[in-house]
Amino acid sequence: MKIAVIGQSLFGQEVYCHLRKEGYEVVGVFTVPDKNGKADPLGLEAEKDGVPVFKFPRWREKGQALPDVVAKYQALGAELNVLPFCSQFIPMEVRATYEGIQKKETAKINWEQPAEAIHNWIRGNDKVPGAWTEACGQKLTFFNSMLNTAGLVPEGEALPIPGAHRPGVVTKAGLILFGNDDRMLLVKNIQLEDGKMIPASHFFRGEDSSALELTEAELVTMEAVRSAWKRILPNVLEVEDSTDFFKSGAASVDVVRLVEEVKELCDGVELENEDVYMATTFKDFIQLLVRKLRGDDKESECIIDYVEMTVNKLTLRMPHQLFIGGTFVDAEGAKTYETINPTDGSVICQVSLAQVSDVDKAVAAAKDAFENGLWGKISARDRGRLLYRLADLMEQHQEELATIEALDAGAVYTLALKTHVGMSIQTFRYFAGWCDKIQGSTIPINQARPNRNLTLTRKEPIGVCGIVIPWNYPLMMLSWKTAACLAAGNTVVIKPAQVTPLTALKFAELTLKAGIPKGVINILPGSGSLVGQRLSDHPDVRKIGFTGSTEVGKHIMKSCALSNVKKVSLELGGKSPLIIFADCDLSKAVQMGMSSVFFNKGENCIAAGRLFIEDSIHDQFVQKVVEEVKKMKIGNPLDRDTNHGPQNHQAHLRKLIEYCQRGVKEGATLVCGGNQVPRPGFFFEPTVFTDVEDHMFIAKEESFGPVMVISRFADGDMDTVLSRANATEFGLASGVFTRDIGKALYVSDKLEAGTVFINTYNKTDVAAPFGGFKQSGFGKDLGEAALNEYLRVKTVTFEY
Amino acid sequence: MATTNGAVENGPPDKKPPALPRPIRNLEVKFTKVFINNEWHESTSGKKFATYNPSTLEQICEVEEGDKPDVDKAVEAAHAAFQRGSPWRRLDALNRGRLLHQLADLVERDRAVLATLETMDTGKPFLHAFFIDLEGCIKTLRYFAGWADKIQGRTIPTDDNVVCFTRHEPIGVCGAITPWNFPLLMLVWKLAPALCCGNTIVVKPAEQTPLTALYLGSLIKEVGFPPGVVNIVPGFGPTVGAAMSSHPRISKIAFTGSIEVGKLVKEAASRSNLKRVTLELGGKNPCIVCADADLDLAVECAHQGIFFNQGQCCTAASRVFVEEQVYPEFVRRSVERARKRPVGDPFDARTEHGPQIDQNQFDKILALIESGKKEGARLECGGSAMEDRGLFVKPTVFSEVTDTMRIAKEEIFGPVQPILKFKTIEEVIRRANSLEYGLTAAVFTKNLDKALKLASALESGTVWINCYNAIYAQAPFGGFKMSGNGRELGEYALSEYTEVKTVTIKLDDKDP
Repeated sequence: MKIAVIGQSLFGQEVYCHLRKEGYEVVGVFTVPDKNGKADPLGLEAEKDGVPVFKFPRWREKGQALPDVVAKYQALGAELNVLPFCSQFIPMEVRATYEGIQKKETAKINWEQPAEAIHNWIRGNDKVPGAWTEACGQKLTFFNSMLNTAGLVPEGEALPIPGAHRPGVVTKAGLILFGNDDRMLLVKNIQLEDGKMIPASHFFRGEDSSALELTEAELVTMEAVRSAWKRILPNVLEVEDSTDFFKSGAASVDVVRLVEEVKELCDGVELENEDVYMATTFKDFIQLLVRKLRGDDKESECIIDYVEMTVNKLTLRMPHQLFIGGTFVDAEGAKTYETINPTDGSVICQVSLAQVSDVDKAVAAAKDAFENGLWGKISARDRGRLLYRLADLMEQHQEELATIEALDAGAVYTLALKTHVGMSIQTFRYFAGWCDKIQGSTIPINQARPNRNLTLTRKEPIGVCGIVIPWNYPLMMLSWKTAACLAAGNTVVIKPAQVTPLTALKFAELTLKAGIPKGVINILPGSGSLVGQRLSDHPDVRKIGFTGSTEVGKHIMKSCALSNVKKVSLELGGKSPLIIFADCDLSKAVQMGMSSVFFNKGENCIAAGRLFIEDSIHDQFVQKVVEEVKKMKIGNPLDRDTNHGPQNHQAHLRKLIEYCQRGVKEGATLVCGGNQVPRPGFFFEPTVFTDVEDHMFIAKEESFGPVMVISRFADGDMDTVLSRANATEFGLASGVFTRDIGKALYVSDKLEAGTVFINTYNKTDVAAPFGGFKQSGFGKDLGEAALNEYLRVKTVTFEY
Repeated sequence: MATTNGAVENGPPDKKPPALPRPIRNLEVKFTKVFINNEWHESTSGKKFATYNPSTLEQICEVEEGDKPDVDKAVEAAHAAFQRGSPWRRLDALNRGRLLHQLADLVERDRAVLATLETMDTGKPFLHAFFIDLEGCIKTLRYFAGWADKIQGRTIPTDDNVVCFTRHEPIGVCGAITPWNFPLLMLVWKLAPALCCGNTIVVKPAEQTPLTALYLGSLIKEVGFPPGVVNIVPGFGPTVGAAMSSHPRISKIAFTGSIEVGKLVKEAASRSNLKRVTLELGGKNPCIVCADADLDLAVECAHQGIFFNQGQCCTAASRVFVEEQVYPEFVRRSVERARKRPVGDPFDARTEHGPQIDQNQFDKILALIESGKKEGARLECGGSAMEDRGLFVKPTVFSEVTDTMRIAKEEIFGPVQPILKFKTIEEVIRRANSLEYGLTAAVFTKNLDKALKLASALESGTVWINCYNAIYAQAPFGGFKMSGNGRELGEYALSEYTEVKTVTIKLDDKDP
């Protein structure tokens, strides 16, 4: 066989000698020019044998093959090129034409065989001549086949292939083909009949995605940008279409410089650091820039089908579909359900109801975004900037978000503005600042003498996380978990409560506006039994963060264990004790005691579930509370003077009525309330029970509604009241009112709860960790501690 | 010696409280020379100085008097011991910790000897030396022993494709200049973190009290610290102290003592080689007693706060502010308590109060007492030296003290309790914060709001609430304002004895 050797170095020489020894005819040797008068060993050896030696400094210029070089090569008539240690770019034109191995016409794919055989056929014909098939009216040649398709979902546009068992599917990962055994293989590249090679995933992009033809003016701009690249990348001899900004040694400071230079060059075109990360080669960068300059870069902007509504002097625009991979889509089978306004029981709109297959799609999107997307490539600081921007956007839309919360969850608007939405914004800001401060440790370990060791720990994101949240603070609970999860660098699939999906979907829209890469956040309204269950079971989800009932929490933990030992954190129910001592500031205790129970209609996981009042002030306390309850304004949550809105949904209201009936039946004294308010919607009266004894149902079980449960304790009997307060399987929060420093510290030490409030209540803060003891769950939201719930520690040990 | 191991076999343990520890009578002082490279040296100059028992005014022994050449030798040894590849530098962190633990074991073994030496040299009551000074030394050594292999750097996320981490490395040769009020304890506060972080150290004990430091040298050697890791040069401030502060090869110096000398140390440090400096200086510490306080507790704590160690504490409660409603009662009970304070032979187990350290201090205290009388404070009790003995000063209480009097402004460092009156919280905060000192403060109140408000408002490195002199090896100690720089004890102390090195490794951007 006639062989051309293209290469250099001692290794090249060795290969050359070996080929000759095996009896092959080396028709020519191409090697590098002499350096400092010294010839390369490969050339030297060939010259000894009288083999023609060529020393071209390059084979092409500005992307074009040099004709004289190609002519010299072709004159040799080589059938095969051998390239040992070849450091030069060899153009396509320099291709050996040995046809003895495979001829194109014999490389046609036979579809009547299993996937593995097809894969082997494509692989065997890879490079030359390429395995092909007839499809879409032309000859398509497939390259770069993979049999390992684990985790791939055949979702995409069908590519019909005559003779194939099933049509191919063009996905983001490439073209999926099927064998007659129904198993899949993946092809990464397709060569079209005209010889053009494209990524298989781009097959259907058509003309639209093909390169723009640049105008004269744009060509001038291109050359100006090219020289900017040259200035920034001094090590690159020539900036070609394929030159990659980062592979040429650019650092983040160079990104800023490029962005600024191009902005100045192009009169302040809107260009951001992320754009450079998205289009790293010169060609892609120019294409992106020209699109921006022409103003047609908006193609990616998602078209959202909004439900529009004018309420609260605002026009609400509410997305109502599933949010998967950065787009709003219908659920499988276009399934929907109604979401209800608890103030009057009316239907707000139809919302897509996610199915199991939708969960799989969302998880695949999140997985792809985690493994291949921009999210994992941008720096921690840039991740933080995106989260800050998201917080800013949430702030810009705070009235809209608070109004949606009032409609969908019955949240009192003024409270929603401050708490539901206000704290959500603060949470994202707080965690945005953490992104580039997630530090591991360097640890002194015992040295393996005579060598030495170095041990580092790195805190890494876990991967795809599932977050399942409740209906009491729909946006805030989403934010508490999602902000920490994203700050740590994970991607996420969120299931909002089925009864309160709308702020989550509005949030989804804002993440698009903030520029959070597609697939990082996916939101699926739906039922716990389908969506929550599938997330807990899913093999690609590595962590579940859940807030909800203890019963469901246990079920989730079990599913997490059985599926793939997912990491899990649970923030569950509570029956938080509030102990009020006689030496307290009584008016403050009454005011805080009221909000400990009635805040957010009692739909508050840290609500004081039991109040223990010291005997000597008990009657006075009850009297004052009753006076205050009478002053509460029950009404439409959108009215600014309302301080008590409707319960979240009808089933919850029914449970509250039963809860109070049971309290009365077991002998507690109903001081006020206990009934539904006689008006439309799901309103429940603020309720006060006294003489509650420890054995009663209402002393033990959470109401999750506006029900104050008061028990008394003997004057000075601190230890008994402590043991009564701790006699519960819950341990979320607790409170104490006293002026005595000794008592306050003693009680805070003895209370078995994740949070102890002293002379205050409900005072949570984004910087302070929050989470329960005992059956109230484990794992913290908020504060630095929350980050650890979404990180895994890797220990790296070196020896040197 | 009894062991606890036999307790089970021998039936229930004895209910009787353990016998009080006894001082070693007629203790022979064995270690009086300069300690360098685990060897005992005579001073280069051949000079010696005497050290006295302040209780009897008798000379205990003579000690080699170091000077600059001895400091140079010590630093050279410490420097050699710190060289890359030396046994000390090659020692695993874990084993560094073990050596410190073993040192603690030996201090515990020789506890009675060390306490006896301390009492001989300082005049402090033997039981205080045994239960407070030595207890503190052992706990501090063990605390930092545990830190040795936990001195962690960080791995840090950055903007570029790099691995970035920090190493917390020892600084090098450290100097420690220690005072005479708690000679061994103040030394251990410096030595333990310095060694735990992997430094080497040169120590100058106070010239009044060099004996326990030198004894510790013998234990360092016995434990097997490599030669040169610890070096001890007895001598005087203007010679040894000055040579250390300005030594170009000492990279860090820690000093406990007066503000005046602290300034000299820092100045010499900056003039020479900008060595790192931590200073723990004087205090004029407010002790605030609110009307709602447990008065018995407040009286006792304020009393111990000022009279403990004969008033020779940088933490001394030397400005007691009492809310006016309880002022007369507080003064009455404080005087009663001061009158009852047992003064006498420090080796007597009943003694709470011994002599002052030396004539200088004695004279200075009496002068300040005189100024108090002259400036119109009411002398409630004490106010003079004990008639029959040398350096003893009677526990003294002044009432009706005002902010402008010298006894309310200057550090007395003696058994003198000035009691001031206040009306409102805002007023007492302003007055407490009005001096340039800021070491400690104490608050006595049962009210939660007042306690937390004062804790945040007082400008001092430590605030004690309903307690006094509550110092723990785990909790940082140091001053605000002119009471010092830096912190001793706790995890914070580690940062005073380490340099942070940032290592940044560029990763290949090209695909691997």
